[in-house]
Amino acid sequence: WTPSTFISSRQNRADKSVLGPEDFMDEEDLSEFGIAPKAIVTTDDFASKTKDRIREKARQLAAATAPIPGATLLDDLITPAKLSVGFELLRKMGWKEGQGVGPRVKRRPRRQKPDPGVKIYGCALPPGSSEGSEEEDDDYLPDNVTFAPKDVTPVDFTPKDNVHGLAYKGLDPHQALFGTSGEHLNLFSGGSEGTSNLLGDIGLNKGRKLGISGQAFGVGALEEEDDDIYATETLSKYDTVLKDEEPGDGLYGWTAPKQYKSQKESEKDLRYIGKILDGFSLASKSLSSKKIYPPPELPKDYRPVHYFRPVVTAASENSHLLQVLSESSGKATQDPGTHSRHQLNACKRAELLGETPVQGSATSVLEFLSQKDRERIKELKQATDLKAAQLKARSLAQNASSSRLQPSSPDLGHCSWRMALGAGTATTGASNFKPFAKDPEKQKRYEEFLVHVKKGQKDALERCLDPSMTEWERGREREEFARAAQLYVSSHSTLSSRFTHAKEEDDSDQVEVPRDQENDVNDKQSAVKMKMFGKLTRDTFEWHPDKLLCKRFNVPDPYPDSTLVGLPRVKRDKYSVFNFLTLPETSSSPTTQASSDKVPQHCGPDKSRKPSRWDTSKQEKKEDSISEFLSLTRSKVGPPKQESSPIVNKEEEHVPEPLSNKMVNKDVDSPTEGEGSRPSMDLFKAIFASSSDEKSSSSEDEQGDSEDDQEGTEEATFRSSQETDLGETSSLAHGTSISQTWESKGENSGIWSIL
Amino acid sequence: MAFPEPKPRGAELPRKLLKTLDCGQGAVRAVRFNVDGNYCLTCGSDKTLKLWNPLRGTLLRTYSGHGYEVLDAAGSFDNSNLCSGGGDKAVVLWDVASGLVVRKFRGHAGKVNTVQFNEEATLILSGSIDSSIRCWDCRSRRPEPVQTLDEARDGISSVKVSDHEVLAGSVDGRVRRYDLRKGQLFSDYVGSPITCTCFSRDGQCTLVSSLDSTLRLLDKDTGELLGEYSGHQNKQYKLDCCLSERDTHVVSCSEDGKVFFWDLVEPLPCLRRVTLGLDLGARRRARMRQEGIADKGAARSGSGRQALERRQQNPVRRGERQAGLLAWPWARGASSSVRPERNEFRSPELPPAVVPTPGLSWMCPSLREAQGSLALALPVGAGVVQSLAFHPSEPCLLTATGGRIQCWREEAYEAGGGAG
Repeated sequence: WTPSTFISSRQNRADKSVLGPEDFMDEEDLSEFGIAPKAIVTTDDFASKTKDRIREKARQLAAATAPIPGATLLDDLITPAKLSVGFELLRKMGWKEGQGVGPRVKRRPRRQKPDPGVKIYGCALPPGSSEGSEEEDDDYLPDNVTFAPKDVTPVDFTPKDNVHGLAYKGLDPHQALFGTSGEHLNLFSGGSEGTSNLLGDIGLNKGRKLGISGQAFGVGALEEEDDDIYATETLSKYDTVLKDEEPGDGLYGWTAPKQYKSQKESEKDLRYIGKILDGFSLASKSLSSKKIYPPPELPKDYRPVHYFRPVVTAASENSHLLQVLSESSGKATQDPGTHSRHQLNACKRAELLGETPVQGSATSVLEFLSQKDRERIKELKQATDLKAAQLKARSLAQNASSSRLQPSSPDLGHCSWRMALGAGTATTGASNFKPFAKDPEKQKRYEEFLVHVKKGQKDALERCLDPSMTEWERGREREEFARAAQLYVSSHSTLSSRFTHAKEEDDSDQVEVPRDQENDVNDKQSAVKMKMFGKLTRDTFEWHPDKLLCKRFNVPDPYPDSTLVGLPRVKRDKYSVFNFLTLPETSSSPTTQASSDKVPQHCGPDKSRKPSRWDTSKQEKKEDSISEFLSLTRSKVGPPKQESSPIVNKEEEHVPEPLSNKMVNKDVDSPTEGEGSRPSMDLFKAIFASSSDEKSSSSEDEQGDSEDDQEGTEEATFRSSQETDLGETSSLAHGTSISQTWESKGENSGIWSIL
Repeated sequence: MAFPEPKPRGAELPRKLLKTLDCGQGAVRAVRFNVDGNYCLTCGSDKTLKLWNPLRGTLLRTYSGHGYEVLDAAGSFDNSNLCSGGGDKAVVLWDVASGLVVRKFRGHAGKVNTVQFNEEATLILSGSIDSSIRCWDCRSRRPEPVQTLDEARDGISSVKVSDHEVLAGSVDGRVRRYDLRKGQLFSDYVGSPITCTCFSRDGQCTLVSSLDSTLRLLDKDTGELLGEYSGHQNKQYKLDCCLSERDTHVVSCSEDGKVFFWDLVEPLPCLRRVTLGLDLGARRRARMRQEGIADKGAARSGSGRQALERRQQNPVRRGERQAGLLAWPWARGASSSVRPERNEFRSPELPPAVVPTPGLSWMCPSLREAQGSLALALPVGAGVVQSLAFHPSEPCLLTATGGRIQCWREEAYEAGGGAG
């Protein structure tokens, strides 16, 4: 068998002009019995009108069995006057009804003699069939006479219309009764028997042969069958003794192995009493009986309604309860029987089962808490951390130049993280999880911190923190480390095996935005209203066509040195709203810098062609004064992006620094920390990272362009940031309204196609 | 046989109904002439594209292969290929003679409103409802577009291509013109969603129709308004507009079942001389000459450029040649009806230096903010006239209403006059 191959009609699609309904039909629809047969079939008009013998006989029979006998007479009377064409043609060719078709034969092959099995005595049979009558008067044959071939009677296939088995023949009453009352009974018997009866006397004779016959009954007047007339009936053929079964084992001296025989016998008896169907045999193996399991017995105190344990809500006033809970669950190791199995975790169960505890998992109270409880504790802790941060922020706002040491609130945090770390830190030595991988310095400090914690030093944090950092930054970093340690330690062992480091740095904070934006539409709308088309309504941008596009258009590339395609783009912070939260301190740090990466990469060495406006940034880089550089880049890029770059480090060397020299490198990193310690950026992302981000940042972009002159003091920047913030929201709102109109217009354009 | 020198005569408007074709492909979304105007394409809503001889009214071929309704189509300069775009977001490149799909470009995120070949049929530019124009390369097997122009903020309704420009109208109410030579993008704000844009035949102006039932003629270089045409109705549908074959009239569909004709310039007596003397076509030709010289100076594919120029100067003969190349049996009679020259009153003695740069506005100060006077409102049918196409060289108009297209000619036109 080979699957039929798919042949595409794609190439022929153009040739096919009009499809008819036949093209959508199945093959069987077109066959003889389908809805649109293709084969040529003689219609009724052309069908032969010769008398079909079988049908004829069936009709006779029907007439005989019908309630009104002889009803077919009517049908015979109403024969169609029109004869079919084929019939007429045959007639014209000399054919007569009742003859066969074919070349005429010289002589009748041989006279058919009556069946030798049938002996005819006495008077001849009544002329039943036409054959017989034909054969009767075939006395002499002249040589020059040819005869038409004999018509062939087709085999009589009678449909089986009863529910008897195949070849079943019921007791024929008229056979049994020697046909005495045969004619009468025939009316009620089945059709097949009737037809066979009507087929002729031969069939009748054969039937009689099978009938019950014997000496005792003698030979009747109508009985032709007398071949057994001298047979003797012996009584030995009959049973003379009344008995139920064969005596003994029923073997009659047969010496088969006894158990085999008996077993078989017994099995047969057991299994199946009745006739085995042809082609079937009894199975040698009995079916295995189904096991039935009784339903479990319900305990006496069983209640069909489930009872839910009351859930302890994580509120601050419940901390006592939590404490108690954790203690009790800690105690559960001593007497496990008192607790239900739902309170056990995997460790406890393992312990109960006597398994060896997993290497590395330290025994801690926290370890034995259920996951839910642990999360609750974590939540509590974070709440306190947040509170501490808020407190700190407030204090910082109050006295910017505070020389005061950290407020007392972080101590709470200390306790919490120490508690959390108590368990985990033992295993963190080999941890390859680096939460601050982006910032190697910070990562180093963090690792140092972990080592300290492992040693059990109380002032671990204070030791590893950078003394050159401001108080605020240190506070942040402290918090951050604590949280990171607590978060990553507990999960790193299971998670680290499943994740690998990203090959490319995920730079999702940045988004590419066209540098030039179409200006606000408001003034343009008014210009349109005043029909002041021209400068007011026109925006001109630098646009870089693709090289191939220029080639296909047969146009020289306007920017042969540029690798840029489309509008020039710049990178902007994606989540620009939240940049302003940390903006004050980043700008206060002395070495805010913009990366040189952001300036376009296409500045080729050759500027003989038309220098793109975009290319000017290269010259700017050459400028000495860092302040100018800063202002320029800031005006170009809007909110400055923090990134450590070698250029800036180099420049720092000849810029007088108020800070101690050895900490310069670390100082560079400080803004990044500020960024990193922003409370869980993922949260913001999850909430705000929508499609409107691009739009908002792009509208912010416009703001950025307009605030070129704003630079320098922290205050000014702060104010400007607030302004942009306000502008941001307004432009955001504007953006949404615009998008709504767009949508409505989109519907318009949808309508367009609907006529 | 020698023709008498054609006299300058007033533009005739196609007002005589010559033929009505029942396209049998559902609603006809767009009707387009081929490059020489002998054949036309109808885009049906039953996913088929049909090629007709509109004068004879014979259906030449049916192109089926789109998965949804066909919204726009265009023919290549050599009549060998067609491109079409439709609701199935695909842009299809067809072979005219065999009727087979040569390529299918997929990449648009929404249905494709408009498609255009570039001048040498090496690119297909398609504008889609997904607010992007994609430039598909017909030469390479690359499945991605060469460049995506996604500056528009809303769906693109119309794209037109000249030899070095791409003109795009968008539903965000802006007409953007990408100038490949200058490497610049000019964005003109119109305000209302734009349904159709086109270049004037002299390449100096752009005609913009928008959903505020107004057509505007803008200067291409400065973006200034040269004329405003209103009176028709266009508030809902994407309707076509164009300029007549000699830039004399502005033609637009309307939702009230008419086609509107405006005089491009108010036919003031003082202006008439100016327009006659400085025919737009002549100016264009002069500019072409300039550019040709400049291009040769730049030593760029001189022969190709020359061929291009030749082609532009004599589109009719090119059409004949290509038709003969393809050996279409129906091409013979139709092409012979085309007049030998495109511009009757060309003035070749006009020196290139005279060619004004700022477009039409210099001609007459009063031309600024000119309200074009309505020349004719041709009743076409009961429903919306969805699409129209103007013959590139003759006053012959095709309009599409419902499932039918109609062919209109000037009054003096006689059907037996060689159209066959």
